Amino acid sequence: METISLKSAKARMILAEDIVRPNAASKLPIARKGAALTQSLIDQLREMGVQSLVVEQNPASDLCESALEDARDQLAHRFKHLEEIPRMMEIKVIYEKRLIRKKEEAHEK
Amino acid sequence: MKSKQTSFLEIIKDVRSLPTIPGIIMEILSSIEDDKASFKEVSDLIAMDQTLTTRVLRLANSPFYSLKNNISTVSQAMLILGSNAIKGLVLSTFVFEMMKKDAMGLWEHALGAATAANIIARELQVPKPEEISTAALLHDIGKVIIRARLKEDYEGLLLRAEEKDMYMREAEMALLDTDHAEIGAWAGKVWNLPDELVEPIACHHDLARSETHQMKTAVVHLADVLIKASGFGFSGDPFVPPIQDAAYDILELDANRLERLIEAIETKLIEVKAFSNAIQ
Repeated sequence: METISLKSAKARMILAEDIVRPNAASKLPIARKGAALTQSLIDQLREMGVQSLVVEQNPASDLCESALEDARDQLAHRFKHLEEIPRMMEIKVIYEKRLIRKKEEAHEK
Repeated sequence: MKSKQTSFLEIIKDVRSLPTIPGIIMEILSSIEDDKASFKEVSDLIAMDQTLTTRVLRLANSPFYSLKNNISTVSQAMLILGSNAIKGLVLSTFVFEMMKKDAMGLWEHALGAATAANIIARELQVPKPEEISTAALLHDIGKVIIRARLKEDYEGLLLRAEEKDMYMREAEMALLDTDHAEIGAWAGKVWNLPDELVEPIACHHDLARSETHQMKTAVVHLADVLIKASGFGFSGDPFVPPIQDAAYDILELDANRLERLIEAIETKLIEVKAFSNAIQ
């Protein structure tokens, strides 16, 4: 569980605590612990002046990170004997950029 | 006393012990090239065998040829792909059946290389991209033969390459005093494959040895390297070999061109993966 700024919030993150409207007399939550954020909820929270929220470590993004790390390790292993060849290192960079792009695209969905 | 290398080589290069190719495929491979009579003869031969027809058409319509229209008859396949490519395809149907049992990674690598070769040839406007694609499909046929003949020793070869941090080819040379490129080319000649397919098989790791079909061979070499770099399929080689300087010269490669090729290939491989899963 971690506290993040609303700017860092992304759809599909899971709330670890209820979100209450700032400065409101009523303590009725706007969104409940365990709810998944959606883009419209994030926009709504921004309108209401919410600045930060507490989310669970998102398993989906963790998996994405870990899958990316695995893919990069495998790429590095395949290119192991080519470190002295600049042309081949340029090609490795192309594949690496693709991996990062794929991860970002998957994360946006 | 014979060295272990000599014994292995004799086992592999014994023509009698080559995988037994069905008679109909041998007949097709033996037919005369680029001859009108042969065109009809080959079409008719393939058409007589329903299983062969289905397999040839399935491969002819695969993503690695990237043809605009669906091919529905053998004659159409002959016209569009050409007789050399068809011969290669016919042999590939047999090779695939061998790989399907326990070498699907190698088959996927072959499909990937064929796809990459087609894209490279078209982008660089090298003539007869379908023929080059077929050569790429068959480029590692030597591995299938070595594997079939050596069995457990082949598994040992793979392990050795990984453990000793060697390229597969180095491990082959150490154990067999030859490599899969030479074995593949030898088998290709025994099976009457045309030279347009044999030379790329023989020289895809050593472009300097290529004489008559340098462009084709350079394309197959580049395709092999890029598919290994991609990690698509498993050729048996844990490491990516460098693109040879000769390939840069022959194909006039530069960083931008390579980046465009890699993007196009990676996009196409998604389709190829689906095709590979569907035909298993």
